[in-house]
Amino acid sequence: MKFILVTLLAVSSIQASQLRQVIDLNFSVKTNMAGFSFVGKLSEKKSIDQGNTKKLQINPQDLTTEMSLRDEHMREQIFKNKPIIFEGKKDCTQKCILKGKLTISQTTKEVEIPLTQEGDDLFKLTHTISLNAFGITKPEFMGVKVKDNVKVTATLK
Amino acid sequence: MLKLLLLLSSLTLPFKAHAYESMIRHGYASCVTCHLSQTGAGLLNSYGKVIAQQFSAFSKMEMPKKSNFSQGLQTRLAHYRSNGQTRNFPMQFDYLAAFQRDKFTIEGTLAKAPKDESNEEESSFAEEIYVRKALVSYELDKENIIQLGRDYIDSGLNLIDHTLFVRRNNKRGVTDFFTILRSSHTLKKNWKVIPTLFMPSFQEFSENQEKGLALKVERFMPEQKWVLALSALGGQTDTLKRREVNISFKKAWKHLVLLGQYGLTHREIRSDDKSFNQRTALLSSRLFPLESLEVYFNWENIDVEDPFLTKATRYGHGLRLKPLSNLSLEYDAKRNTHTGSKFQSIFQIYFNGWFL
Repeated sequence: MKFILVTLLAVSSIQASQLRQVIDLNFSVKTNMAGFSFVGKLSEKKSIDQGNTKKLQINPQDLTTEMSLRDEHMREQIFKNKPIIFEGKKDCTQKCILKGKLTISQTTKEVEIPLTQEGDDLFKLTHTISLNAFGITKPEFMGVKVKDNVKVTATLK
Repeated sequence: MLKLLLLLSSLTLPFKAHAYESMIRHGYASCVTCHLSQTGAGLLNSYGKVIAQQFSAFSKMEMPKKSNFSQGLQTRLAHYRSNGQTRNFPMQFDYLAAFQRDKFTIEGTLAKAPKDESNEEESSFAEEIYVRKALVSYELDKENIIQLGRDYIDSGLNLIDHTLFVRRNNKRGVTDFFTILRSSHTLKKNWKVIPTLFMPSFQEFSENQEKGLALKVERFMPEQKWVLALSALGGQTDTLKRREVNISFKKAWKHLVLLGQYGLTHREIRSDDKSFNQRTALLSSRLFPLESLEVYFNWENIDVEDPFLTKATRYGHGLRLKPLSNLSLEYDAKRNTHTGSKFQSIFQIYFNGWFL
């Protein structure tokens, strides 16, 4: 979900500044266990489709927490092995709210994501995605349960 | 020296032999996610068993059965070489059990002491068996737990080998098992506070029976892969008073973990009002070229003031391979620069067999 938000932000930035790529994308997940939370990332840079609507698509296989079993559960239980898609139309300059549609696990929501320009051609975003808002049951495994909010950060170029 | 090593390692230590510092690389900054025990080590819970399979070279993924009762064996076979001496011996043989029901957990560890070669008297089987742990825990809620029974005091990194190194120089004949009343409180922002009231285990010599208070404060930063801890302890026996402070850290990257600990102990000899300080330090780097393979390098130092004037520095390196979820092989070699000894090497086979 965080990924999707990130993607959305990225897309808006792209429209505004002719940005065409997600440089990096990270997400952090907390659990019900004290002292246990984990981070994940996009394993490779992603290009943004420059059509009438700016579109970013991320396959769950492109996201990793660097632990294979956890990745497997994330892709199956959160994303249902379906791509995360952001489609945005709004132009955006320097600092703005990126608007668009974010699809996670086949549920589409309108989202607004703040985007901040850093440097000549870099944009940063930080956003929190609620799993519940996308109809995703919080994954639980052997008593360890993921918390609802996932924090996403990304850098776009 | 070998006898001393055996006695210390078998009788006086909690045997947190598999302190999986490696897990902090994956966000597991505290032990309770995978272990039944609040202080880590020992029996794994169901989640921990799956994770153990994940990080072994050849284990197949199988979902463990859920049960209120867990039991297992922890054994170590050692091949030890020092100054021309070679010996093979069972260094550890522990039976561990835990029972969970509602908010109660009962944990126990029975251990068999290695045979002392220098002791010509035959000891009975019963004399060689002792209780390493007997602890009842009650969960007030998810964040607050009370414990009563026999266990070690949670202080610093709890690395067995470093504890051995320090104890060898300053605490002969004293066990590290206490009768404890301990609570554990998880606060917001991943802070954890563990106050402990401790009394003798009554397995010590009478002059070494110690009572006092200890406190450990930990800060987990799993996303940044940091753990910081501050431990303090005040205790007294009939002959000594001691005040101890330990600071420690763990920091992880993708294939590397750094560990550090610094301890300052102030002791007063009650009979003649003399006092002295002891400083200990540990730095350890652990490389993980594969998830199931660990290569480590350690530096340890101890400096004890007069009248127990002791200075020692030890370098070591080792390798640990985890072919199966309940089996690991380890090679460990060390050199103490102050005593001028040759490299002591020890090859150990660990077996952690979880039943049920």
